[in-house]
Amino acid sequence: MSEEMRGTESALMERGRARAEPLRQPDPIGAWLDVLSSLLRVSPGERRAIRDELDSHLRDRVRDIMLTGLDEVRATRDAIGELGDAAELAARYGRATRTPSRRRLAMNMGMLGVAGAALLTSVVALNDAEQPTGLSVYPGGAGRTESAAVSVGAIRAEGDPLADVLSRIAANLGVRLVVDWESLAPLGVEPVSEVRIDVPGGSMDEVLRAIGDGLTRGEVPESAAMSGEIDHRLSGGVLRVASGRAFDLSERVLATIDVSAVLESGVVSEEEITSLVTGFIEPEQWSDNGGDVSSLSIVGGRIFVKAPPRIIEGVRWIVGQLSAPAQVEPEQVVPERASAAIEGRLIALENTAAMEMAEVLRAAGTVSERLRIVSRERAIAVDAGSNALWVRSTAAQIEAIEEIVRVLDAEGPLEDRAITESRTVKLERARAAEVRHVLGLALNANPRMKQCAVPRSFEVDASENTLTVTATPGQVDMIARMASALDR
Amino acid sequence: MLGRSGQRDDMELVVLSLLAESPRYGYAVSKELGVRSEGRVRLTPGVLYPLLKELESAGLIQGTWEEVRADEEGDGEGRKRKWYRVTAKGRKRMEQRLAAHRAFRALVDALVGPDTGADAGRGEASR
Repeated sequence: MSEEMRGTESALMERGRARAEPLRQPDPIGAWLDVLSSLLRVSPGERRAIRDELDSHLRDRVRDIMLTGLDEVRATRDAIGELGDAAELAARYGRATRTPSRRRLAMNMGMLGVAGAALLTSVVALNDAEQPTGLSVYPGGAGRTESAAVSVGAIRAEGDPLADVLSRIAANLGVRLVVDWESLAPLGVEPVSEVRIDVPGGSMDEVLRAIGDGLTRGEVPESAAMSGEIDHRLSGGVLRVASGRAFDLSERVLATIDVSAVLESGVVSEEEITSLVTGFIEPEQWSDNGGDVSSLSIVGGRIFVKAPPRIIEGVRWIVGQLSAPAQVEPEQVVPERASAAIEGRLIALENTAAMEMAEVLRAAGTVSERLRIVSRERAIAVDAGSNALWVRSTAAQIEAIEEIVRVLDAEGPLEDRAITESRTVKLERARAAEVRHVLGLALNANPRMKQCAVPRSFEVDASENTLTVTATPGQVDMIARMASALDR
Repeated sequence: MLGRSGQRDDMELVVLSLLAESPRYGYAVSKELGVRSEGRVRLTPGVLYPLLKELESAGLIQGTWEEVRADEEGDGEGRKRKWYRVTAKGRKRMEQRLAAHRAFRALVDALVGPDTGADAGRGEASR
């Protein structure tokens, strides 16, 4: 290489470094570990241990690679690359922590041989606007509440007891606090557990997640694997805090789903339906697999299922897939409009966990008519293995969903957190308060955006139906595009 | 490269053997394997760490955490490193795997004839 070229390369590297300076602020290792953590289906204690171990590995590895002459950015990228796809690694950890009975279950599922089903490691079906034919839900048990939409002010704690921090949040919201400490004990969480957080505020979900991350916990027994994280409900002027499992148990409902037509078609047997459901929808929760949250029986051509609503949605989706004709000849389809034909599309995600994206889309469907899943032929499934969404709907709705996904899955700007701007978005169709809730979920779903978090605020003017956002310019831009997409 | 499903038992044997020599943390296992095989055998971290987790869950190895002290440049402060050692159950499993490995190797030798230097070299390289 000539001196001139070296000089040019050196200058380019200098410029590259100068440009790269702001990149160092968000920790790419931390961001990658955030993604992996969100995909791990293990107990909270195990999740933290895996994260700590891989964090240590990555930092050792980056240092060794840098000793070979690479810069930190490249070394970090290479070290993360050696770990491979986060979803695949999470799946490996899932297999590594399976009990023998769950391994047997997985073997049995493998022998089922249902085409395409093997791709789906978890299933999320979006709500129908109306109850579809063949489904009736027994109106028992408490439903989920609107609590996630409530915004909590700034919370700061430096080793304060959890009980105090929760009391402050309740006081901040002007509600009464009820904590089920017994349900939290298996998570290593006690009233005196020390909390270290400094959050500018946000939804209850965001604040509780921050508390969970900044909590000093006691020993977490293996039996805590299925207890879930700290969760909450806010209704009737009461903030209830308990483990996710405790809420699951209290919110179970009894539902029946008619599968007589599916069984009569001879495509699947009762045993195969049971195996599909208990193998793919949160397997560890089913009584057949040793869980105690969900149970089902098939009697007289109907599935009787007792489970939390989200699991019942998953059962309904499975049944819907079995009911849908495998292949429809074009001449048999008589769509009302050309766009009404149902098709499928796989949308791969790069920066956001598919499960969290599905949650955002579920919420978006409650805000925007064009994003609402309105019949059981339509669904969104999560393929956690490849971190992708399988969307089955009309072409127009798939386009609308993909637009949201692309905005949210963008790598996200890396910005100076000190620079903020405000923008007011006038909404024509959607309600500003509902849009704010979806945006809160959306920002939380994107690890890069979460990491760039600034003391952003969403102010709603209900009379004008406007949303005023204060955040970094890149975040404001993304929020405005999301709001626009939700408002169409 | 190790890591394919058919070599799962081999991986387990290699990792248990390294940990039976002395306690190691994951990255040290990976590096030691690379050094001993002169870079020919590489256990990728995406395979190694889930394997360590599996062995630990099965009670074959036991992990303990160490707080990493800051180095001269102040790096490492606050990090935690997990060291593994083989348990009595793990040693028993290792001996079983080793016996099975030797028996299989003896069987192959008996079938294909005595090992020659050239064949041995090629066999090692392809592993």
